[in-house]
Amino acid sequence: MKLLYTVYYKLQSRCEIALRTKHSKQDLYKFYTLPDEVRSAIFELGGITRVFNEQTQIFNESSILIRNCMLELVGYLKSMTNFDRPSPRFVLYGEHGVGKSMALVYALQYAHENNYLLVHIPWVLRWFAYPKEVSHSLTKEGMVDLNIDAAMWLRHFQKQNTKWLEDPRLTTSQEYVWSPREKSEANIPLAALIEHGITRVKYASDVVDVLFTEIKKLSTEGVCRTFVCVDGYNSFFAEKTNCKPEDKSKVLPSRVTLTRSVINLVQSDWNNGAIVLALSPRANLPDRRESHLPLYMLKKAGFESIDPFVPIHVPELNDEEFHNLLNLYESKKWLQTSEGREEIAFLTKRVPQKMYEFCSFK
Amino acid sequence: MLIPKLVYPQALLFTRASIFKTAVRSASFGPQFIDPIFKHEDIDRIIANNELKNYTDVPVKPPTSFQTCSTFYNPVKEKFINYMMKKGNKELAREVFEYTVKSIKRIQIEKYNKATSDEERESIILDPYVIIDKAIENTKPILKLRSIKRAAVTYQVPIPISDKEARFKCMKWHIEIAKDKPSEVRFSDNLAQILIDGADNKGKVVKKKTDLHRQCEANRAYAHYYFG
Repeated sequence: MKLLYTVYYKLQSRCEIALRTKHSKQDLYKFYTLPDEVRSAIFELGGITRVFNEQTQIFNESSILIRNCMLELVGYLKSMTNFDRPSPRFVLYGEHGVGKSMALVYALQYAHENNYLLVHIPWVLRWFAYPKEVSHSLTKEGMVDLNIDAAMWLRHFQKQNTKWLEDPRLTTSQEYVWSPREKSEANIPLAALIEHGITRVKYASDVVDVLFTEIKKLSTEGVCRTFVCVDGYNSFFAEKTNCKPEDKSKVLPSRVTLTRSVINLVQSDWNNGAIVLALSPRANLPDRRESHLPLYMLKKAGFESIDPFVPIHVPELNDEEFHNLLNLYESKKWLQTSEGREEIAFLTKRVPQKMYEFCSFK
Repeated sequence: MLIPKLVYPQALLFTRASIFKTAVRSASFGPQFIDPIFKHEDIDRIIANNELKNYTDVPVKPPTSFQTCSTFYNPVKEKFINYMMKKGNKELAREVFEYTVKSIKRIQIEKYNKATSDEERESIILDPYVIIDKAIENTKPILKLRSIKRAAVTYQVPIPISDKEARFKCMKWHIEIAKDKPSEVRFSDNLAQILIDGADNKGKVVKKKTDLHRQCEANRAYAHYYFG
């Protein structure tokens, strides 16, 4: 049986098709390489997990396993024909380390190839767990701004959509007043609006809010097709954050301006786009990680904010995927024996991240 | 002075369990007890050689908590973890050791990928446990110094050392030297580099061993004090 699997790997474990659009059921359970130009274009400022970054450094290659959930998600996106309807919501859920973020990487790459405007939030918990600067909002009373984080995200957005931001059709619809002295006039390009947010960090949170409403408007008008992607969406509904403003008052995620703008973006009051959200037990507080099911993680408020949605479960690896992955590790010298596969399967529950960690000291 | 080498029964040598032989004074089992045979391969070998009747009436010690029949069982690893442990915090010690192994693997694989010729590639050892074994073999001392008082003067007397104690000493040296580092460097990364150096027969631990040997050589005139 062992021999059979190694032969299988050598024969057909590589997928040479470059475009995500052309992947089919025949390419299931194979590895494809993430090209360096795509990596630098989309994921330079976030989006790729720590473990995968480490792997690419050690293996000298970035290979991704094509899984059923990825093809399912991309299949839904492909089958969308009527763009006058509200944008559909897809929710990826599964246990920690099972490959939800890699599925998002796959979907983002598909969207990039098909000329979507990308609105990608790499890891929501970073805003609430490690906030750079917390200040009171000037425009919204009782709210809190995370301006440096917002400006950093604007740079990420700018980097991902360099081609789209050169388009002259992407302009603002109305005049925005930031302060008595500063204002942005109507019909200026979105690139100028983003540049304003990055240079005047004081208004970055407000710029993000304005940007989302403008993108919704532009998408509905049919100027651009938008792909919204949020990793760790459930941390918007946690009971606690590390944000401490000057008056030391308690800050829930609902009191942060970024939360309100993202939840507003995820609503289905706009057309011509798609929304993909990933839920993770790791995005919850440590005392709330028992289950990976959507209702438990989002609680009632969060569930109602995105209801209805298409759930996509990301399961543990099946037999073929499991052996293919271990064969890859063997060929890269990460695992140095071909014995004990049953033991690995039992101890790691076939969760890929755990498998990587387990093989690291064997 | 030569100490006669201990001869273990054949069945015990199979398991590589001989390094776990407990000290006589603290042993709770008498000498008639044999070490446990817990690996499937050893049991299969005994059955295949028809030696099972030799074990029918022999009392056997219970295995310790870390002796398992796992395919990845390695006695040296378990010993290293125990020597590294502080205040019974085995979980942390194990985690640190696992990071060390990972770090060794990482350094070696990156070296392997960077190598240009086949000869260079073959010379790199990729298995971290082979590296650890080699490092221990290269840094084991053959003698030790003991202070002995003769006529109101203490002398540093060189005496021979048992295999088990030599093993313990060199592992302790590894841990001691790995702790001596700037605060921004991780202990596990430092230990990994020291082990790789030791496998190559160079580095601080090998130097420590040669220093000890040199001092023993200098004190050879006192060697007879050991006998009284």
